[in-house]
Amino acid sequence: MNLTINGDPKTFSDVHTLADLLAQLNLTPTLLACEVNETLVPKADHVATILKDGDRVEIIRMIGGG
Amino acid sequence: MTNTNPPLIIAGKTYSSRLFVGTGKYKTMDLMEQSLRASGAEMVTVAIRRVNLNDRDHDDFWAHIPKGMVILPNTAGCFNTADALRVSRLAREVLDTPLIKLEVLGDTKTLLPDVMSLLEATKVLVKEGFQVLAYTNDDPIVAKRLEDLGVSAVMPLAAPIGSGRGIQNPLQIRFIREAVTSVPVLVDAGVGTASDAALAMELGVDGVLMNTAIAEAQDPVLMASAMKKGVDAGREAFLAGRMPRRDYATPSSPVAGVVGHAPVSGL
Repeated sequence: MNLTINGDPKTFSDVHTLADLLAQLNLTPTLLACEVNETLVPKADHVATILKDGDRVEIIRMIGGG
Repeated sequence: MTNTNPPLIIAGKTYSSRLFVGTGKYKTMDLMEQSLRASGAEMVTVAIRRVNLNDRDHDDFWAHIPKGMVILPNTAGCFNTADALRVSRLAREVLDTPLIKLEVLGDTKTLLPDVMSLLEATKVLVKEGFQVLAYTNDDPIVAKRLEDLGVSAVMPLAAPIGSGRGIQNPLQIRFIREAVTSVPVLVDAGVGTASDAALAMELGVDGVLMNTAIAEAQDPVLMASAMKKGVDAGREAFLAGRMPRRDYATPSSPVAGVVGHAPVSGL
């Protein structure tokens, strides 16, 4: 499946849901936020969110700032 | 003490430190952690950004934030209302907090706030249940409008972000202090050194938020400690009430009983 992650095109196999994607990227969903096609997907919905070819996913975290 | 020191309450939480610090620009995570501890701050700001999938160096950021700190996510880098709303909602999802330091910038060179968009975004976010700490210009009228919209704190700038120039318009900071009566006023951005923080507090504001002044100091940990003292000294001086300014000298020692000839004014 072809996805755009944080603006970069990437190809995945064995990824069906948003939760699968995060697991494959070695990301724990705490302290993260995800959007699929610019719609915020709350943590509780990661498992139920089915990704499809061409989806644009944003994975957001906090970082140092003022 | 004749003047009481009421506690500082922001969005329902009481803070004993009136210094608020950012977490950006530190050379190392250890230096950041030590500086945060030295500052005595109880609330720190963070930015909301994309995960960098090619460089996971920042993954340990969270581990270096001292436990118990209140985390205030910001909307830094947003130049329009839609982006600021989007980042605010992402921040709430990341941190599970209603707090947001709302900044909507109008220009990349000065990073001055676009107050029209700021007011617009504030209106939406307050309705959505956010507790908005609004980064704004040193404009008392806008400050009052923000208070009317229900922000949790009004945060006028001392000078442009990261400029370290200190308070450019002390009169208007004082006007803002007078205009905003129901929520705290925090000076945010533009502080360069401890005397700038002290001056802000002497003007009667409730606290000071800074990042670059500490992070870009030669010794950030020592500067964090200096800022803490500057804020405390300024607060105490404000509460103490300064003496009036006079044009000419008044003797500190008694004028009666002086030995010698009576002097004359040279003017």
